[in-house]
Amino acid sequence: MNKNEQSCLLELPGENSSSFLLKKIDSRAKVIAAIISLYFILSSPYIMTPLLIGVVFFITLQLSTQKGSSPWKRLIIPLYMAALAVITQFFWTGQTVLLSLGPLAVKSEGLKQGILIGTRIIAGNLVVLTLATLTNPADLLAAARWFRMPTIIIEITSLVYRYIFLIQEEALAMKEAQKIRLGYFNWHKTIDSTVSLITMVIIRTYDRATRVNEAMTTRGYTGNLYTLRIEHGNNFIFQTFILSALPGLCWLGGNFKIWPF
Amino acid sequence: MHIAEGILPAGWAAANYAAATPFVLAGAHKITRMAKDRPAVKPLIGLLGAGVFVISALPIPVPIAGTCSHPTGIGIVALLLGPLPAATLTMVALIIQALFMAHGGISTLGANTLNMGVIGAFSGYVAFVLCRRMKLSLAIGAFAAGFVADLATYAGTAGSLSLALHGNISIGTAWLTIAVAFVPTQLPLAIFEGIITAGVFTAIQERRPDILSGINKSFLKASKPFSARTWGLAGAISLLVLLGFSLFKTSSWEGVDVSVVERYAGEFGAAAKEPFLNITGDMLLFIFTLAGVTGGFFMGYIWREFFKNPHGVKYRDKTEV
Repeated sequence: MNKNEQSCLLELPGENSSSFLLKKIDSRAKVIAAIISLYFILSSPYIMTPLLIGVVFFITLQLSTQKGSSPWKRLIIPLYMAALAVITQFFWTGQTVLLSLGPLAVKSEGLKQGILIGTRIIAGNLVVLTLATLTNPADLLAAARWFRMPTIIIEITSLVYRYIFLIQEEALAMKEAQKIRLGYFNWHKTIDSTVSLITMVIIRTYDRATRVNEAMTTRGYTGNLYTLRIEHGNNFIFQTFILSALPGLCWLGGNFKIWPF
Repeated sequence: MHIAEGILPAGWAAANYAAATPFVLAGAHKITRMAKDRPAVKPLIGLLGAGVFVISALPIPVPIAGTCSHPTGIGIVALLLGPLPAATLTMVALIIQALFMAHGGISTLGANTLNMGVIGAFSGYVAFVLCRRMKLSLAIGAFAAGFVADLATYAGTAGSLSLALHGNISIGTAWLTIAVAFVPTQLPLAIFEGIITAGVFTAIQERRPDILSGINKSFLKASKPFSARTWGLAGAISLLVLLGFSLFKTSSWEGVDVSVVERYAGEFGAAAKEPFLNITGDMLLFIFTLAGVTGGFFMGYIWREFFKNPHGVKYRDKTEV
């Protein structure tokens, strides 16, 4: 795993954001606002709706990110995918031919549909990125519990979140040791080392999981985790209304017939 | 895998959620029951989820399809935990990836869970069970699980994308275009994942066999060979299905040579020529039957030489008679 991949896993945006006002808002309100925004982005047939919502979240994200942290690098792959989705729609949708490229033909309806999908992808990713940047993972899980997500799923999510670092740390240490011993010298050795690495990670963490469970049992663990029951604020409805009003206004603005597309 | 946020329209995103939710809830129920019997299962499942997360966090963008490609790790999880808990665990890993790494998305979570956690996990598990019940080795079964789970995941992803984005072209053509776009990256990855899965399970069986039986009780049951009754039933069902298809077929049957090879060769200016020995009609059928029967008898006589003899019995040792 190279340095970029490590930093991609280790830099969790929810933990790096500044003490911006939005971070202090009830996580439930932020989740509802994000879902409403996504619904408006995906259901609107007009390009302006996702564009306006994307601009709003872009500005929010720009204001809320600390200097030095780089949430934008997480948008590189979605931007690439947006470009590809746009190009496929040029050829797949519509009848009116704008431009012929050998056996392929760019259609005007496809052009519009491609730009719409591309804008949706970028705006949707900005919404999710803003939610993740402005909300602590523990608050998100607390919100999920409030939304009646099955307890077992929340507990497993928190355990997965905790074990990511453990597995990564162990795997990286073992991989470094393998590299020093020329474990990735050729194709055959690479497969051999990868198999050995995954096997040892599974075996070691199986033993560790058993030990952790025994330690938890001695401390009174009966199979349920209670650490996620966070007290929520009283301004939930007001905050939800305010946060959801903004994408709502964007949706209305996008539906006006004053835009060229 | 990992359809990006915003690609699927709201209706398709909701439909995918509706299709994936029953499996995820059933998986959650099964994990709850497993944890009641043995609370240590929860930390273990947390670990496996994290493992899937780390393995599947290495994306390779694929041209045309508007998505990215990477090893899924779902074969290992499906075998260790069973397909239903694997669906739940996949959803958990996908939520974290969507929120913190912009891989996948919240609106496409249903589609990604359906393709990887349901289609991938179940097909991989079924491939493993079929291989084991045909008395093939653990390594071959695990390879089949990793390979099939990976390919099925990407076939499902191509299906989700083609249903939502096919535009004016047919869904089949869109699926084929996207699936073909996956092949250059996904076929090598599927083979690689199959080899890794086989190696991992062989190594675990050699070093710590208690892990295989300790997590998922049905893992050992899956290795029980099919009985003669099951084989007979499967054969009868297959014959009935074939009979049903033949009843609905109105035009005459054409072989793949005529319907595909000759047709496309003709379209591209290389029409079929007359064969050197033009055998037709009943004589052709007779030669085919003769070749099949000869080959069948030959294979039947020496089949033990081709496959592993699990008990080490010398079938042709005349001193035993």
